[in-house]
Amino acid sequence: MLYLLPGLLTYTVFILFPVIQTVILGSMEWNGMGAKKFVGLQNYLELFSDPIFFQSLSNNAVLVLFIMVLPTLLGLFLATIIELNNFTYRKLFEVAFFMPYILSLVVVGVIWRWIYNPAFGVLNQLLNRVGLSSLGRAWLGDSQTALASVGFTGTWVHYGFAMVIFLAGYRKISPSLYDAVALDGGNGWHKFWYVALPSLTNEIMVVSVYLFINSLKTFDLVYVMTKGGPGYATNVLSLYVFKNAFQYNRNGYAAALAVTLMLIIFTITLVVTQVRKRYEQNS
Amino acid sequence: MNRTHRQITAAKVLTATILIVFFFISVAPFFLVWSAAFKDKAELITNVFGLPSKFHFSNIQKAWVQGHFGTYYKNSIIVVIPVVVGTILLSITNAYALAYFRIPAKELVFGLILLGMTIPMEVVIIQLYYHLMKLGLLNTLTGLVLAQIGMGIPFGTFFLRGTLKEFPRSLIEAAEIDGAGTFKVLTRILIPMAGPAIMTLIVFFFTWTWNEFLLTLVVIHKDSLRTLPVGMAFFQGRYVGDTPLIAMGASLMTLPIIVIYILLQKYVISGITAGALKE
Repeated sequence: MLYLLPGLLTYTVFILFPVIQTVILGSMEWNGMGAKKFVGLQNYLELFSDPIFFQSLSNNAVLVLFIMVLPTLLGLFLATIIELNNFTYRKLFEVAFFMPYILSLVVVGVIWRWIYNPAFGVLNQLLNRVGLSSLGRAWLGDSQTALASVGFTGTWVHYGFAMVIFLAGYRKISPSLYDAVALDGGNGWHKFWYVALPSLTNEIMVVSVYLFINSLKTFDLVYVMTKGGPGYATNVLSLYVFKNAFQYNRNGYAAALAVTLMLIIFTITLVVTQVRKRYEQNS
Repeated sequence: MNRTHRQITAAKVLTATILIVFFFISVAPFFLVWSAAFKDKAELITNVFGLPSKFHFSNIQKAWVQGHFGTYYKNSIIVVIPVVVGTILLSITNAYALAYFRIPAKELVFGLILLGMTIPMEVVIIQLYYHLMKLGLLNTLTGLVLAQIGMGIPFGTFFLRGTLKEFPRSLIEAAEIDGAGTFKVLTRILIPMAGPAIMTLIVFFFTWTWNEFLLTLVVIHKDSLRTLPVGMAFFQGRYVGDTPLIAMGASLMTLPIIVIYILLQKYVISGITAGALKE
């Protein structure tokens, strides 16, 4: 019991306690200084009539495409061609593809802001070189392309992570299963479809959930690259929480937003845990 | 060369081509930034893609002194060491207690700790800000360190509890028969055996702490106390247009992470896969 005390205490005081306070604050109105006023569910009701909340939610949904769906598919594809062709220099690619993932997202944001810069950015210069200068634009300043540009940076960060997990999953598959497919006259596609894909279900679920939650929590990239702009074109939930709490002094509303975000994440985690349990029981 | 061998080669060429394309996509930004870091502003406009014609090593000093990167570096180190050591020590004792002892409401305690792995930082910071203010810890590195330890404990406890549970119980019982107390069992037997898992956690917590942004942004407002990520974010606002200096800052800041990653990548990759799949 004595062993548990210091760790549990630190965690309770600095994490659990503020979280409980935030949940309570969700039903109050407070500018951070004066008295708190109980308003019941008013903050949550306000969410439903707030267009910026819905814009942020839909921006997060687009980021799910770029940070969860694309990296998972790409990672699976790359792991598969490396594995089924028994590629020799896999370690080199594993290390290189994973490298963006270990960087601070602030640094990633700074680097890509330079790449996307309209005046002297790498991307526009590259387009000029290959004679496509007409495609050049202010990638992050144009509300048509800003969100996709941030999203693509997210893809760049995460696809190597997904690939590494899938490669580890491939290592657990017994070669005799492939031999069985080959014996039946199957090709590479059959090996992937009938052997690899079913065996990788667990990895696919883990990667998807993890990246899904990451896309919902996106903050650093957007803060550094666009601050949510132009307008609210790249505003995301967690940036909106931050702005409400520390710029607009609307702490109660920020708390309601944060709690909503937390509930979405809890629900997804819970559902997937249940599905996995059932899946494991069946197999 | 027989026929099957040649067939494989055709598929391999295609695979290699795809992999090399992605290799460039992953690595090119690193190369561009490192070479930009040593150019001057004029050269960067005419020569983005090549190596610098002349290496401007003075950029290092400029970023370090004028750009305050020296200060940010110092603060990051002051924060990262106690966070890594503290989180791991507290996680080990937590994991030990939860894996081996009879504790009232053990499941509930473990559940509460696990909850911490899914709580987003956004929910914590709103009130943590006022909480630290009351404790007099706002705008101090101590406050930042304690909050980061609290944030790391759930994963550390979860990861180490899993590791400790896999050790044979008979080993501990044998030590107890020899008269070893619980502290001796922990320090002489369990911690040495958990070596690789602890190594993995060191790499994890180092990377997370080194890169932490949102928490630091909220807790620290004095420039002299900023860590690297927050310092970098403000630095790029102050030096808009001076891309070489920004690139130098980015290179300096990521250097330790990349060195650690390349030296210890065995632990990173095995740890990430184990951590993700064990859940």
